[in-house]
Amino acid sequence: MPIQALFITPSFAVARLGGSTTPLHSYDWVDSERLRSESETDIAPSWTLAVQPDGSVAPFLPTSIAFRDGDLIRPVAPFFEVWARLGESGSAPATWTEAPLTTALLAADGLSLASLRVAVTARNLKAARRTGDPAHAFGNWQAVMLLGNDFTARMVEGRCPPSVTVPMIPTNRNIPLGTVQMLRSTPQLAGQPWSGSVRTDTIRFRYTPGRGQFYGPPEAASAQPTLGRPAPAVPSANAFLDPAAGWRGASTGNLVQPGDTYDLINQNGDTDGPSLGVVDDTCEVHFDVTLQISGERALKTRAIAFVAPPDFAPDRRPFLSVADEINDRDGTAAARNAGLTGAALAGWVEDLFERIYETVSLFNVDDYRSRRAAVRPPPDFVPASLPEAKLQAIDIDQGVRSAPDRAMGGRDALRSQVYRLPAATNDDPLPLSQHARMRHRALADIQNLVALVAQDALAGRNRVAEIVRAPFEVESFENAIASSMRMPPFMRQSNALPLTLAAWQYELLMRWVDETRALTIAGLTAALPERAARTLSTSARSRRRAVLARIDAVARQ
Amino acid sequence: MSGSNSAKIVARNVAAFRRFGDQSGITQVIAGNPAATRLESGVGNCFPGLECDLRNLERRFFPFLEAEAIGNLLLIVAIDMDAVERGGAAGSVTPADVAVYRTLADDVAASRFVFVSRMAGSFGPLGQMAFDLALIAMDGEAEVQGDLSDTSSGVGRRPSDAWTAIRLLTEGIDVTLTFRRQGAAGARPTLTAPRARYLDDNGALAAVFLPGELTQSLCSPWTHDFRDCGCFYWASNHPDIAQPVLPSGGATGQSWQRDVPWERSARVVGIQPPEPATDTSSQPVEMRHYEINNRWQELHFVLGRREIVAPYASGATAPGAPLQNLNTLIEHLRYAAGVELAVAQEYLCAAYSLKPITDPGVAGNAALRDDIRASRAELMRIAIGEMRHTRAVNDIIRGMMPPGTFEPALRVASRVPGAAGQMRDVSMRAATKAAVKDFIDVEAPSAGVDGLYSRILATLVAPPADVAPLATDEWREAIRSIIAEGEDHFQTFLDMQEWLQEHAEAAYLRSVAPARPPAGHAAHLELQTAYGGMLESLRDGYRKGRFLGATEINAARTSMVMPGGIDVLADAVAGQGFLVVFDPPAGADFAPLDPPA
Repeated sequence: MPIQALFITPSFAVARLGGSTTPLHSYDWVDSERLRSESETDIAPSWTLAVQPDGSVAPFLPTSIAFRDGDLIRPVAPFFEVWARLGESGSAPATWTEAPLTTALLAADGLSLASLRVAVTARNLKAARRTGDPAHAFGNWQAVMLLGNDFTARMVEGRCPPSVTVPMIPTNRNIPLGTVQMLRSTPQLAGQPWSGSVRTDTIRFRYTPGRGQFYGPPEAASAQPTLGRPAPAVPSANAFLDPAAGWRGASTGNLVQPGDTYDLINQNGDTDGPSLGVVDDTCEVHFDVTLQISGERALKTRAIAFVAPPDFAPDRRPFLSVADEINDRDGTAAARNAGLTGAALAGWVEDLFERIYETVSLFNVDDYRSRRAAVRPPPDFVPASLPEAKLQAIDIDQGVRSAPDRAMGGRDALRSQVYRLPAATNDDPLPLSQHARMRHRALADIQNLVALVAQDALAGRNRVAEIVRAPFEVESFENAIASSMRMPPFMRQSNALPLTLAAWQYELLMRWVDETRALTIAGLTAALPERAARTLSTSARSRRRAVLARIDAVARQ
Repeated sequence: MSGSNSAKIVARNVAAFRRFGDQSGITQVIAGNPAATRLESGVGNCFPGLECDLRNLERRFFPFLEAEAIGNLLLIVAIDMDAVERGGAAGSVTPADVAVYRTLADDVAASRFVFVSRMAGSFGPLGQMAFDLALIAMDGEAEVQGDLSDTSSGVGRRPSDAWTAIRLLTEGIDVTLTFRRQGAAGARPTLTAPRARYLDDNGALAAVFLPGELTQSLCSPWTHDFRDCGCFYWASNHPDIAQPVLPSGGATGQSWQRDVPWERSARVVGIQPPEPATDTSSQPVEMRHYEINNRWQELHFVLGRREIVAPYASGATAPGAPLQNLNTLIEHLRYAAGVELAVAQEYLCAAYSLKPITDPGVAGNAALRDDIRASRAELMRIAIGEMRHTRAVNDIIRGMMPPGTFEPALRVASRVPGAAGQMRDVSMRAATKAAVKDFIDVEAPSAGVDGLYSRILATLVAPPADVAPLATDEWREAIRSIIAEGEDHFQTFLDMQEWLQEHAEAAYLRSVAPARPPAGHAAHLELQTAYGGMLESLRDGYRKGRFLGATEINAARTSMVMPGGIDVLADAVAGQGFLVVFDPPAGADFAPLDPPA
C-alpha cells in the first residue's frame, strides 16, 4: 500500500553529554533479579546497535554496561526510526497501517533514499534568554541537511546569528554541538539472535551530543579565588568567546526563574550579578524529516532531542518525570485515566510507589528537613514552629530530636503515631533518610500499601489523602522556602512552590485509595451492619468498630 | 522495528504517543536506545530542570500569542500575525478576533505593555473559574494585586500564581482572556479560544515551538545549578547521597555502608571511606562552582545506591531449588512465619537488655550512650519489620489455601537457620556480642532466612503444577520484598556489631546474662497477658483477611509500639534485671513449630 504519512519514533529523546567517543550501550529498566536488591528496579543490557564504517548498524547484546572509558563518560546518543503510515489513496486515516520505513517500502512507491531528507537544527538560547538579546543565541543557522543516501556523520556547528555585528562566538570559530548521521538500511537477516527484536532494514538516524565542554571569554580560563572562582571556569583552549559581545557582564533579567543559574564574574557577590560569559555545549535539536513523494507532494514529520547531563543513577526513576508532566498537559489525560481500572490501576499504583522509593533512596531527607521544614508563617520566616493547628500535644519522639515543632518533628500532627524516630548520631547521622527508605521500600510493595489504606479506613482516617499533597496545593503557611511534611516533603515544583504529583497521577492514586477503602468498609459493613446512624467522635467511632469487630471474630470461632 | 517491551515501562506513563493507530505497542522501547533517552528518565518538575524546562510550553498556551508569566503578572510579548491572518483568511479566526489580535500586535510592536487582566477557563482539578490577575501601575491607575495569593488550599481554591493557572488549563477547552493595554485604560478587549495543543498528532512538539525554546531557561552552564540547586528533586538522576565506591582490595567495616555526599570534591577511592553525609548541607565539601566545569566527569554513576567505577552487570542471583508441591510450600511458608516471629522475639529481648540511657554508667559517656540508643532503635525497627513479614507470609498462605481453610501461621519456630544454613535453637538472651553475631548469621545473604525464602521464591517463579495457578506476581513481589529487607537487616546488624565492639558487654547491658523472670513475677505476667492479647489480635485479624482484619492487625501492631503498650511492660521487666521473654500462649495456634523435615 502507498505511503500516506510519516512519523518518527521516538518523537522526543534525551541525549546525554559525555566526553568519550564511544556512546553508551543500550540498557532497559527491568525487575531486579538479585535476591538482595534494595530496589525492585535494575538495569540490564539490551540490544545495542554498533554503527559500522559504512553507516549500517550491527546489533549486539553487551554483557555489562560501561558508563565511562577511563576518565571520560560515555555519551547517550539516541537513534530515531522513521516509520510510514500505509493506506490506499483516498482511504480514511483510521484504516492506515504502520510499518518502519525501508528501502523496499520506498521502492514500492517508486521512491529512493534520495527522496528522504532530514533537516537538523540545533540551538542553545540560554544566554540569549538571560540577556534578552537574540545575538547571544548560537546554533547552526543553516540546517544540516542529511540525505537519505548519504551515510557520513555530519558535525553540527554552533555559531552566532549571521547578522550579529559583534558575535559572541568569533566567526572563525564554532562550538561543536554534536554530530548527526543517517544510517544505512540493510536487508533484515533471519535466524539471528536479534532478528526478533531489531530490524536493520529500518531507516534511522542518530544524534550524538557534544562532549560536555564549556566556553567563555579569556578571563574565564583563569582562577580568581578572591572572586570565589577557585578554578578556571573553562580550559584555555575554549576561552575564545568575545567579552564585548554582551553576555559577559550581563545580569539576568526577571524572565528567567531561578535567576541565579549562571557562572558569575564574582561568585561571592550577588547571585544574579554580572555574568562571566560562560556557555556550554548543550542544545535542543529539531529534526524535520521530508519525504518528497512527487514534485508537489511531500510528507513531513519531526522529532526533538534535548541535550542534558548524564543520568548518574540509571536504575532510579523519578516519580514525576518529564513524561508525567507532558501527560498532565495533554488533552487525553482524562480518557487515559478512565481507561485504567482494576488490576492495571493497582499495578500503576505499585509502579508509582516503586518510583517514589527509587527517588527517596538517594535523597537526604535530614538535610532538606533542616533547611525547609515549615516555619512560622510570613513575614517571620523563623525556623520555629508549624501553625498551632498543625501540631499535636505530645512529642512522639519524646524529646530526642531537635525542633519538634517544625515540620516532620515530634509534634507534627501529620506524623504517623506508630514510628518514633531517633536523633542523629555519629553511627546513624541520617535517621530520617533511613526511616524514609525503610517506609517507602515497604510501601513499594502493594501488599503493604493496601494494609496501610485498609487500617486507616477502619480507624476512620485516610492518611494517604491527608499526607499526599493535592496538585499545586500550597497552604497559607507555606512558600518557596518552607513546606509542611505533606508528600513529597521539602521538594519544589516548577515554580519553586511545594512539589506535588501531577493532577492525573493524583487522581489515579486517590481513586485507587477510595476503591481500596470501599472494599475495606464494605467488608466491614457486611460483617458489622450499622443499626443506626449516630454522631460519634473519630476516637469513639474507631474504638467502637475495633471492639465490635473483635467481639464478632471471637463469637465466630 | 522497535525493540522489546520493558517490564518497567507502564503504558499510562508514556507520553508523546501518536494519537492514531494501534496503541498496544506504546510500551515498546526503541532498539539501541538506553532507558536514559526516555522522557520517563528525566525529572519533570523544572526549576529550571536538567533535560528541558517544560514551563516554556505555557508561553504558547493561547493560539498565536506568546506570554510570559512573572509572578502574578501575565505579559503578552509577541503575536504571530502571519498565522492570525492565515486563520482569518481560512475562516478559523473570526474578523473580530483578527482585529483584537492586530490591536495587541500593534501595542507590542510599539513597546506598549499588554497584560492579561482576567482569565476564565477550566483549570484542571480546580474546575471552571475566573479571576483577576495582577497589573502594574500604569496610565495613572494603581497597581492591581489580583485574585491570586501565592497559596492554594481549601474548598474552591484558586491557582497560586499566574504560571500555575496556565499550567492547569485543560487542553482543548475554551479559555477567555481579558487584556489591559498600556495607554488604553478604558478598553478591555477579550479573546476566547481553546487552550493550545503542545504536541501534534505524531506526539512530536508542535511546530509553533522554535528550536531551543524548551531549553532556553536552563542553567548556563548546566553545571552551575548541578552544583548548588536548592530545588531538591533531582535525586533520581543526580543523587544527594549514595554509598561510596568500594576499594579495589575489598572493604572492611561497616563505615563503607554509610551514605556519603555524592557530589563531594574529594574523590580519591582509598582505603578509608569518605566522610558520611549529615543533616547539614553538603555544599562545603562539594565541588565548587567552576571547579565542577572541569571535574564533572569524575562524578560516579550509582547503581543499587552504590557508587561504581567498573562496568555494571546486574548479577542475577541463582535461584534456590523449588519445593515439590503446594503442601510443602505451605509448610515452608508456615515455618517462615514462625522464624519471623522467633527472630522478632530474639531482637526484642536483646533490645530490652540494653541499659537505659539514664543509667549512671551511660549518661557520662556520649559515645556509649549513642551506641546504645542506635542499637536499641535498630533492634526495635527490625523486630517490627519481622512482624510485618509475618503478616505478608500469612497473606500469601491465605491466598494459596482453598476458601475457608486458612488458619493463621503464628506458631513461633523452635529453631531458626543460622550460620551457613545450620539450624540453631531459638535463644532468648541479652544483646551480647555473640548474640549479635547470631543475628548477622540469620540475616546473612544466601544463608539463614534468605535461604528459606529463596526456595519459596523459586517455587513461585518455577511453580509445580499445583502451585502454578496460585503463583501470582503479587506473591512473588511480596517474597522479593522480604528478601530485600533482609539485606537492610543484615547490614544493620553488621553496623551494630561495630557500634558495640569497643564497649565491654557489662558497659552497655543491664546484665550480661540476665535470668528469666521467676514464676509468678508480676511484671512478667502482665507482659505475657499483653503479648498473648497481641497474638490473639493478630490471629483474629489474619483469619478475617486483608481488609476485614485490618482493625485487629493494627491494634496488635499498635499494642507493641505505642506508649503504654508492650513496650512499657517489657521495659518494666527489664528494669527489674530480668530477660524479656515471651511465652507461647496456650493452644495449638501458638505452639512452638519445628522446621520442615
